[in-house]
Amino acid sequence: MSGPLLEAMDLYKSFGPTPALDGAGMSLWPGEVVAVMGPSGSGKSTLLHCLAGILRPDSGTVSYNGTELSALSDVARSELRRTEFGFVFQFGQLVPELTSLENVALPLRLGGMRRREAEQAATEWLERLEVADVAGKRPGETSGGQGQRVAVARALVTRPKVVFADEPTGALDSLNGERVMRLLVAAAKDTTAAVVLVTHEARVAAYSDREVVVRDGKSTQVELIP
Amino acid sequence: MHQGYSPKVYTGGTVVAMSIGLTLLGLLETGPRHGYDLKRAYDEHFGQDRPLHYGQVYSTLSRLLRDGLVEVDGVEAGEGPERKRYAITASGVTDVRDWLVTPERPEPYLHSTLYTKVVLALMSGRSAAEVLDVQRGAHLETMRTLTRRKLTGDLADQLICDHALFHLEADLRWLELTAARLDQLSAEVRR
Amino acid sequence: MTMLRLRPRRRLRQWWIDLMLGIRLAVGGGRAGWGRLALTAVGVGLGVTVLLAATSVSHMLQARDDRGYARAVPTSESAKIPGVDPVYAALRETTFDDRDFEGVIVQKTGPNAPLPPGVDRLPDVGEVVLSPALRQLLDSPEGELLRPRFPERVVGTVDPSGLTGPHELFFYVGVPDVAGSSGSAVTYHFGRPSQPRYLDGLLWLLIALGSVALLMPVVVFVATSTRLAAAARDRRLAALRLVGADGEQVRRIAAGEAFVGALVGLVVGVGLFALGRAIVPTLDPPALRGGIFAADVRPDWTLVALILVVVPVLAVVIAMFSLRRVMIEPLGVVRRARNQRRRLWWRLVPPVAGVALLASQGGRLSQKTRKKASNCR
Repeated sequence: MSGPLLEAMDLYKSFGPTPALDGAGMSLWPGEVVAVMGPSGSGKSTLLHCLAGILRPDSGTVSYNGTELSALSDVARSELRRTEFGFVFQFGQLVPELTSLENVALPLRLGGMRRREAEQAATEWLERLEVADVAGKRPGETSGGQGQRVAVARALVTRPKVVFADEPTGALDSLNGERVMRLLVAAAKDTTAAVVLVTHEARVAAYSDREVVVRDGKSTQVELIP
Repeated sequence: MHQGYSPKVYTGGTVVAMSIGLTLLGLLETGPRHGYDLKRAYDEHFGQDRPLHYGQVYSTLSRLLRDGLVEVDGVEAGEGPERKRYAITASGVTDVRDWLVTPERPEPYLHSTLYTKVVLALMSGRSAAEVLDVQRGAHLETMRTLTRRKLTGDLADQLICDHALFHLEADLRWLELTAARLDQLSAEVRR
Repeated sequence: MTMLRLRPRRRLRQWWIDLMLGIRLAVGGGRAGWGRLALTAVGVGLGVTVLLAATSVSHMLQARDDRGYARAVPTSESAKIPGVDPVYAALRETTFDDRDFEGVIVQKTGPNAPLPPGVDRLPDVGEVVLSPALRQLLDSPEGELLRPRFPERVVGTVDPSGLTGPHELFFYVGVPDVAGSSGSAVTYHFGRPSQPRYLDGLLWLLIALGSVALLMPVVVFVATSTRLAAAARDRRLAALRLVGADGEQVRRIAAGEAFVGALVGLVVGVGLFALGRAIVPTLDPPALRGGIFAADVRPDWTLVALILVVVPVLAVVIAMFSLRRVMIEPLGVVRRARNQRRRLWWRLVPPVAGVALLASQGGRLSQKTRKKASNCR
């Protein structure tokens, strides 16, 4: 690999008068797990959203494999989310009307895969994340830990290059949080997916290979020597 | 580099010298053992970074024998203390039980090096955030090592590593809070 | 090097999958999902019922009129029909206990008397043929005081083809001297040519006004339930965006959802209409004397076809249209708050249409009432 997989430079983004990002940037290399740390309100989630192309920075560049994200059309960015990226948020990312199995199969279905193939792949991932028993249940009927593991399965089912995890254990107790992190990192390493892990918990960040610290919209990253 | 926070400090500290005797008693409660087995069991569960010396084992055992907390269960042919098999006595069991149900004194880490360094750095007008970032880097490095060990180790490993991880995390949280407060304070002073 | 594999879309299949996904989201979404669907279905269903009823009114009135004309005693001299023995007949109206009765007194002149619709045998002197409702009334305790007025022998029942409604109190009675009675005529047949309802335009105006009055609360109900469900829908669609649905896909999915609601609404509407139709004969509204036969409540099939097509299409169009104003982003729904031009003409359409309808019928209305006044005997 000649350069970073994902690279953000000089990002500015404000919601109202106070800037959320004030010149932040970071790079992500293939297959690495990077923790984005910082106090709440520091802009770490905003940084993640910009990196994933779901938020457009006011200025600055985000390039994925050398392609500038802001230059892409909505369709192309959607496709990127569906095929190259995976998402695990603190909560709310699963569709409450669909069962766990359907939720995991969703990105494949949105990409046009036939139901049987999609659900077969989804089943394998549910097994891998140790939640095959809740395949037929809706998000409201599972525990928080199970729900997050379903979310991890869905994030990885398309074998993405990058998984964006925003406080994935934020709503979980220590035991369930550990379990989610262990499975997430193991699965990401197995599929050589890189992970951007936003967290304010050091114990969660300890699953990373290195960390980027965001404070007041500025970031400092511990440089990786490639 | 920050030598002060290697995993050793914590894991080695899980069993302080005073309680080695009680720990050995606890191990003997599961069944009579030879001195050598005892040392191995101890090292496996509690002494990853700081194994016991043989001398330490036998001096402790002879103290326990003297106090009537253990007894010699059998002697095999040959010479030396390593041929003796030790068993726990009824009063030994009582001691172990009493020890387990007696709460440890909560240790306030007021005199740790970390605390001293941070306070000094801050008092000398350095940026709290910088101190925090450097310290966090060192802490996280250690925490990563512990996490890796936890993921490959057995239950005892996991428990020990978690114990250390929670303590390190607590340090960092205190540091974050302090840094936030002091940055706020210095901003107010400068105004 | 490009990793953005924008492979050619298997468009049609993807459209199908998106729509099916929308349908899947509408049905079987747990208790809350079913609740939402039920609300939509009931709302749309009530609307459809009102529309179906509105299209049925015209036929219902016409059918009643037609049967009324078909049994009428001709007023003018009727042409001689060979082989038919003419009948002296006169219309009689009376009341009992605040109820209106109608009937025909007849006097046969021979065995080959003409028959009015719904009657097997025209009564001879001392005989009577009754409508089922009248017969029931006479048999009941309520009818005790009425019985002396019908001493004749009952020889038959008028069946529905000779009645305007199921509760109509109607009779044919054989009387010795009809020829000398007032208003009598000698006739070779029953029935006058039926006239198209001359108040058609006015009728439509009334139907339109009535429907609007009934649809108003339904519209408010649908709008409220839609608004209540909007937050959940926004969350759902944003979640779909996050997983990689593009803007168009999300719209298609929403369209699929709306389509299901409308479809179930149609079924509910048709069901409610059928239920109403079954209940109608048991009612006896004073405005429609004699009540209504279920068979007369028949919607205009071309309008029904129109409703069946328009309602789902409208639901889908409204769903798509309502999404035009919002940007569904992976992180949530952003309403385009830019000051929208309030398009006045849009809001003017209903009142203008109403005024136009009134104006077009107003003139005819005064004309017809004059004509009707002059028609009165």
